[in-house]
Amino acid sequence: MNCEVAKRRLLAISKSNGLPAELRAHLAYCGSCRAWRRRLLQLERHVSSLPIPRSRRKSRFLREFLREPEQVRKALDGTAATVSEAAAPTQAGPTARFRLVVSGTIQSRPMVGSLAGIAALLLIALSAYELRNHFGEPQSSGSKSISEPLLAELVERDMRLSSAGTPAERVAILADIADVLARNLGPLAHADAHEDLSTLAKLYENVVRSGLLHQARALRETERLPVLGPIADRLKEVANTAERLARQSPAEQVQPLLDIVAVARQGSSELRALWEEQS
Amino acid sequence: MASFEKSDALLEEEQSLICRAQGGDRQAFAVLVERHWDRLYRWLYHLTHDRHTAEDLTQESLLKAFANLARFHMPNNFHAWLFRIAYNCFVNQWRSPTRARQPFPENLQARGEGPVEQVLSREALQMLARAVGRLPADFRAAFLLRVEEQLSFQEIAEVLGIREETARWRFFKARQKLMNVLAPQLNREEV
Repeated sequence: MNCEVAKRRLLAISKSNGLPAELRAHLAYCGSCRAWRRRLLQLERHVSSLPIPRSRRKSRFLREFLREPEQVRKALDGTAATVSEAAAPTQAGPTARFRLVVSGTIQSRPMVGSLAGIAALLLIALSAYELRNHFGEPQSSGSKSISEPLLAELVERDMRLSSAGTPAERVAILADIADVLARNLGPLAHADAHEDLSTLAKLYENVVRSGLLHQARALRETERLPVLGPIADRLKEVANTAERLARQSPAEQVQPLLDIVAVARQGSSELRALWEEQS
Repeated sequence: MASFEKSDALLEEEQSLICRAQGGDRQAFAVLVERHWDRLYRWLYHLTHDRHTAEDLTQESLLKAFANLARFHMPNNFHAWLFRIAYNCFVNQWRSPTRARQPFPENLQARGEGPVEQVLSREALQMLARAVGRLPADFRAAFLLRVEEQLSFQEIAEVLGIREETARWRFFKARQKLMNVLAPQLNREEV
């Protein structure tokens, strides 16, 4: 075995023990390869000592993660038992948990005032949604195909929302979340997915009424027109799209779509009112 | 070299935490976050070279892990499973057209004069950091999973979504490149 072959073998073996006999024999008489191997091991020992900037976010993340169920309870005010069931271990199964969260949110108090509650609700509802998919409850092909990317998109925005520092940032992210939900209307409206469409309509209502409109009112007057103008237009487009889908969809899909029409129209006109009242 | 090999007791405790977290126990998942955050962040920092991006990705990975805990089956390696989620998050971010390209940070703060730096000079450590940082991301990911996380090649393959032979090849090439760059410096240090 020559030195070149020996070095290649050494590069391919990552554990210091268990060198093949032939390689051991080469190392026994070749000082240069022994030194080369020593440097290789030295290099790797030092990799774990490479300095990196310290992460400062772990504690904040843990604090927010552990606080979420409490925020949800506060946000729902009066549906505490329902939400506790959703967050705690349950015998009812993942599907039941998901339904409990969403139905508790919507039926008892649609005008939730807490932004953190919205973020938490999205996360918990989506977690349960994911569990439901995993446990193999029968689903339409339409809803199956959207669940993964929808989850990923919403989780990503949900995280941004939890760290947004100003009302303008929060408004932009909430509008983005509303857009993500609205983009999934089409596939669900045409599929056999009444339950998923109803859920999406309820999430949309929460995001627009309890999140977006609430935060929009906190914007400075000078920010209102440039920030809210495009969002009001997008909400109007969503209302038109949902209305068109309602005309083309099976009867059981109509109501959730009409709910979205109402929410989007109300959102659009209330946003307009916010910048018109200043002028 | 940092080891992530666990004792039986620690493994048993972790499995119990995972079971509780799968049942919705957030406190249990918080303990898992506490245990795994730093290692995930460190690996992601090496991949992204940006603290904020690495923190964002760590956070995103852990939230996705929480959302998908029901998909994790014991006795698979939970640590490797987290890294797989983290790698998917990294790849999504990497492909994003809005991603800001991060150059390798030139002025890394050393950790202080620990025993390691007594052995290897700050200059050599800086060179090592630069050489690791300049490896292609795929090679760097495999190399660090092996060297720092001590994952098996099969686990590395699962994390990165590649074949085991490819994982071995990337590790081999990463080592080869590092040795080509650093051997002369290490030679000088030895003298």
